[in-house]
Amino acid sequence: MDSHLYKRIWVLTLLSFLFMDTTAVVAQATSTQAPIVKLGRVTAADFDLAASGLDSTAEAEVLYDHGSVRFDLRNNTFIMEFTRHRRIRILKKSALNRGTVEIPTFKGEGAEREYMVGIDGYTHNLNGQNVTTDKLTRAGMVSERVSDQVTLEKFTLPNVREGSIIEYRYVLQTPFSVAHNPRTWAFQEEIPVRWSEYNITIPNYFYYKIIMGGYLGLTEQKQRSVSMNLLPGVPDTPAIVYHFAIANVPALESEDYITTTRDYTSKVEFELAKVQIPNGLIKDFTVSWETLDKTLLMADWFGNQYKKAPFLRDVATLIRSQNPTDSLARLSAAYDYIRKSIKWDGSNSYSCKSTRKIFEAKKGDAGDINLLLIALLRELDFDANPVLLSTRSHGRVMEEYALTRQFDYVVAHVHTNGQEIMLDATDPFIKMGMLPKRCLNQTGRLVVPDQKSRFVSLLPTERDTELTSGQFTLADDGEVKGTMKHSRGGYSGWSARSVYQTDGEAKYLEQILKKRPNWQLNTTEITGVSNPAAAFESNHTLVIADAYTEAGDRIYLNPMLTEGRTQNPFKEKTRLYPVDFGAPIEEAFMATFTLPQGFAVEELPKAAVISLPDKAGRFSYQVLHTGNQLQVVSRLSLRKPIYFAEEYGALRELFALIVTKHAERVVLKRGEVAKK
Amino acid sequence: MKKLFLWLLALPTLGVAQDEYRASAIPAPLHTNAHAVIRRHETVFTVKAPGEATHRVRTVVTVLDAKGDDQAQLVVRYDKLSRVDDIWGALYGADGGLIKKLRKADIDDRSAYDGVSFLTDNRLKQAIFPRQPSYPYTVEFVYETTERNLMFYPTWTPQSDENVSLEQATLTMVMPTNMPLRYKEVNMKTPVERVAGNQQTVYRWAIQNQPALQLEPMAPPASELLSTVYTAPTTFEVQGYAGVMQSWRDLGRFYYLLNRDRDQIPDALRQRVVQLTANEPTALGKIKKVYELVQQSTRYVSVQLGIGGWQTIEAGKVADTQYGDCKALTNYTRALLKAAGIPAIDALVRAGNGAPDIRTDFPSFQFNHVILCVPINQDTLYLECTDQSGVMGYNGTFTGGRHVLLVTPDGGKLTQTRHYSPTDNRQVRRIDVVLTADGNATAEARNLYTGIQQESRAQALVSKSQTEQRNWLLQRIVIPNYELTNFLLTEHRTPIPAVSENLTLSVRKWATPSGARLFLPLNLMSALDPVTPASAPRQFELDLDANWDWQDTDTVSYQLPASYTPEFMPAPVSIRSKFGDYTAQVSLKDGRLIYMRQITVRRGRHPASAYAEWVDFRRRAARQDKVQVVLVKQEVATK
Repeated sequence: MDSHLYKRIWVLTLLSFLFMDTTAVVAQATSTQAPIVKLGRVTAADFDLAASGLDSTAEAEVLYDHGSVRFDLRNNTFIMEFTRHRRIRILKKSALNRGTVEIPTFKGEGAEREYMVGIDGYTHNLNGQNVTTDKLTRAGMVSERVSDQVTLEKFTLPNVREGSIIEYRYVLQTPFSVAHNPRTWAFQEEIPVRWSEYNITIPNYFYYKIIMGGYLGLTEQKQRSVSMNLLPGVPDTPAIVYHFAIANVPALESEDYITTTRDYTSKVEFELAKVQIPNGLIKDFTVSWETLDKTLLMADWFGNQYKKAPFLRDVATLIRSQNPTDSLARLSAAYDYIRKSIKWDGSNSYSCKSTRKIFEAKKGDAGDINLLLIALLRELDFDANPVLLSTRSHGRVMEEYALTRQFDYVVAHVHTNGQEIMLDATDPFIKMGMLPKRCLNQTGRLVVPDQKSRFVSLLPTERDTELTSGQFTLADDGEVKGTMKHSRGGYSGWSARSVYQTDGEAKYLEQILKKRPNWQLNTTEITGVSNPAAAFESNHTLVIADAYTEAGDRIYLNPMLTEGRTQNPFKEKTRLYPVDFGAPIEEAFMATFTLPQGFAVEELPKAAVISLPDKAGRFSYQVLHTGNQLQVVSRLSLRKPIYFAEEYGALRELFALIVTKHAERVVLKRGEVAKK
Repeated sequence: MKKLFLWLLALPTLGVAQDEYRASAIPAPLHTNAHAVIRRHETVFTVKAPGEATHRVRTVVTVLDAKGDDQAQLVVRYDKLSRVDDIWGALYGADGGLIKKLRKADIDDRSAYDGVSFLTDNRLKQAIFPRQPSYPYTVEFVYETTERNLMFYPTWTPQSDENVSLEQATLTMVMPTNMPLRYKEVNMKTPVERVAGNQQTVYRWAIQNQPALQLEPMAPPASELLSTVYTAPTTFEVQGYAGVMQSWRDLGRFYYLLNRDRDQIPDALRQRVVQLTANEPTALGKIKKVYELVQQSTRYVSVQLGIGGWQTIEAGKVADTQYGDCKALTNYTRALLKAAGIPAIDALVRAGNGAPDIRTDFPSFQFNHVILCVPINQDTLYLECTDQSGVMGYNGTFTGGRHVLLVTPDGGKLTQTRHYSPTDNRQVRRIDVVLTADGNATAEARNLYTGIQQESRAQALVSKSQTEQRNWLLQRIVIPNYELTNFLLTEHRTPIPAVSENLTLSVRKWATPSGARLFLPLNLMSALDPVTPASAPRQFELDLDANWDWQDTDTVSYQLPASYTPEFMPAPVSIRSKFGDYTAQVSLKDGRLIYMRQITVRRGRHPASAYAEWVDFRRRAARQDKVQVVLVKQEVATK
């Protein structure tokens, strides 16, 4: 496995004109050649392909996937015409549904929409040595208007069965008013792909950034110059034909503790940078971070929404009068004001059409709320600015590319008393200065005027902390009685508080008891429920059933009770992607047991310590015996939010030791004295 | 009559006392466990003719907190046979004051895209007010539709969700006098109020002050707990087809006529079937050949069209394209069997794991699926024609153990599909473990799953790649620290299907060494957890549904490390209960410790008071599943 994968994700920029750096990617020497594929023509030999080295047990295999994009002019508007030709071998019955294909098409802001201008489909079956081919007919095609914005073009192929080769080609036209970036081409998907090829011819009227993602090398990469006639009455324009292909692409795998598989998919994306039409339109889209920052700062839907906000003057005056001296208290009051009065609708965004309207409507998306927060903070003379970021499920931000669509979220950044903090007002339960877990995605762009914009780290400022302590005695019949204090801080405290505040105490306790069916709670007191800065603390007096076993003269007790880790989350020996926990983890369990009368310690679990290289993590476990008291202390600390694949082995070992130690038991023996 | 009409026409007009919009007017008991209160729910279904009705619903809902927001929306489904005539809505503040009225732009119109159907004309209109910054607030919706598919009359369950209480609800069914209404009341405190006029007869039901329902684990399905009125016609029309619906016989008759003579197949195909089955001496053999042909050549594509989705496309079309929905593939399979000389009957069923059985005492279209009944000798097979990989005649959790309506030329006949008993649904694990003195172990497991216990494994087996199967297993093997060295899943296509699973596991520290002792948990792979006791007095019956008919048997043989012997041997255990039985025993033989454990659980309905006994049974079983044997190293006396 490629342990340096994370750092080696390679990226590549090509500006359609100024392409010089041909060494960025070197086509790999491979025996794999582009297959020769003609629509509707399949021979018996195509059913008997040589092994590709790909997983032959997959439910289906893409034999050929070919996309091409060209630009054209229709009704005086530019269009992109995307032609896709796919050939798939059905290997298992569970893949039969791949014989039905759905292609979403979209409508733009105006009246124009994308058009499907042609669909051809075939199913090929091998009967003995003969190939029979069935063609897709009109009856197998449906256009479903899902909503005003989206139409699904659907078709279902005839005679698809296990072993079939299905094949289709469609041509989709996208007017520039609907989208001006060609669709992202993924070379990799859930099933293996033998050959994936993408060609695009870009006339030099358009500058696109071409961004490669994923970690598979290209098998083929070429470009050549051509000339084409696009505009009537205008001389031919030069154009460049780009060609990318990857052979034998393995199926995309997912693993636990990752941000999103999107970060690891091999793909090519496009972003329009500039349009330059002779004697016509010249429009610069974003090229550098500096221009992007400038565009954002001047945008009606961004910078202009927080620069001045007279409608917030009254609120600001009130906050100022209530917190006349302490600027931190003022900041906190403004933050609380926004997050308590404006309700988040659950959606992500980094823009806002009108902060004033949001202020009146008392609800909005992440962009609305946080730009409004910035407006209020500025009204209070704070140095507050937006940080654009990409949430974890949206994928990592590549600093090499100044693209707004890399982002899907914005938070507030405040510089006060020499301190920098970030605020997200979508969440009423989070501690000030802490970002929700969804935002913890490496790096964000702080957008400030005067070319002082920069990238800021989104590394968590808080950990995921759970500290449990207790005092117990051994009662009869396997029961342990006592008190337990469960203190949750940082991200753990935040999630507990969110559940508690939205679902109530009964549901919160129900969740706890569901995982601990042997608990009987006698009293429960919970503190820190409303103060986000405090730890969320539960104090229980409880009885735990079946906590120890008694056999003969001996008692066997697991001192971790119900709180030990019982499963190693990392089951495989190797790992493809980094382990991304989001935030560092801190767990501790400390309990004191009073030994029953007449029993003495016979055996104790041995103490154990394990550390990760570079002090990246540590686990320690110890059981001590003094007088008639037993004390257990178990501590886990994972100091990094992300562990690279090369650290996986050590991390897995650490968890293995935790699980082992947490299963160990104390042996108590009835002493001679007690025997009567 | 006059009075009646006034009350029928009562619109959400002004001037009416605004109590129904004011949150403070909600009676206190309706706040308990409620996120929202249905203040008013008024349904008027007016049948104008056997084939036409109008359906008008007015709802007023007060949302108490954020979790009730979902109740503040309106979804009206419609299709080619159902037209939405009107949608009206308004939003009120806590004091009942009007905030705004619903605008056209607030109504979203889209296809009822379900991700499954290839072809459907189902659409929906959805009306949502912007989210409100504070609670409570109240929404009111009125909608009216014209219905032209009168196979279906309303099933009225105004309080349709957990944690929602109800203040007042009425159902009014206005019927032409010559068209008697059929109905069935379930959990209704007051019976129907019937007013007969010259032209129309009006049936009216009302419910008041129903507290919010708070579901409990393993409670009976909500459809049994909520107040409901089922209604159905005696005579009806849909797209020119007239039907009678007084009995199951009538229903079957209608479906039969609707789908009659749609089973012609091309001659070449008929010849092929004849040839294929000619050499099969038995009916079962012929059925098998035909079923295999269907499984190999066709596939399921959902098409929700044609006389309200109840008329199949012709078998000839399926022969051409080799795809179809459940009706089409069942019809096609019946046509092929006919060619082989085997008669078969469509069987309507309400399919789905955990789907409540149909209400047999109220003949109406309660089905969502059709399978094929093939009577042979004493036995009867029910063929699932939409599944290309399932075992012939195995109905499992999808269609097993429930009522079906056989569609015969003489009309419908109710009967039941096979119910699978605990011994049909087995998990048998035989595990050989070699244990070392440091507590590590290697295990060879030869496991077998049958009946409903094999369904998920069979699914994984037929659909997943080797890598995916491995990941799937890793998610399901509950051992603290292990590596899966090797695995193999194999399908056995017996009448009760089975999947065998061979695993080689390397288990780290399965036994815990402590000084001279080694603590060895006995149950390696199958230990069950206890269940959480009820935190409040149990209200509802305990429902162990068909998924609770199963039996797990484990035999684990431990080869002990040299010179280790058990310090004590656990006594054999036998726990008997009304829910099932548990036995476990350990024996020592030739240096091997043999652990044998079996648990059998049977489905059943038990009173609410039995929940504590259920918790006790599970706790006792869980305690036994955790039993450890303490091994002690014997000092070697002779040297």
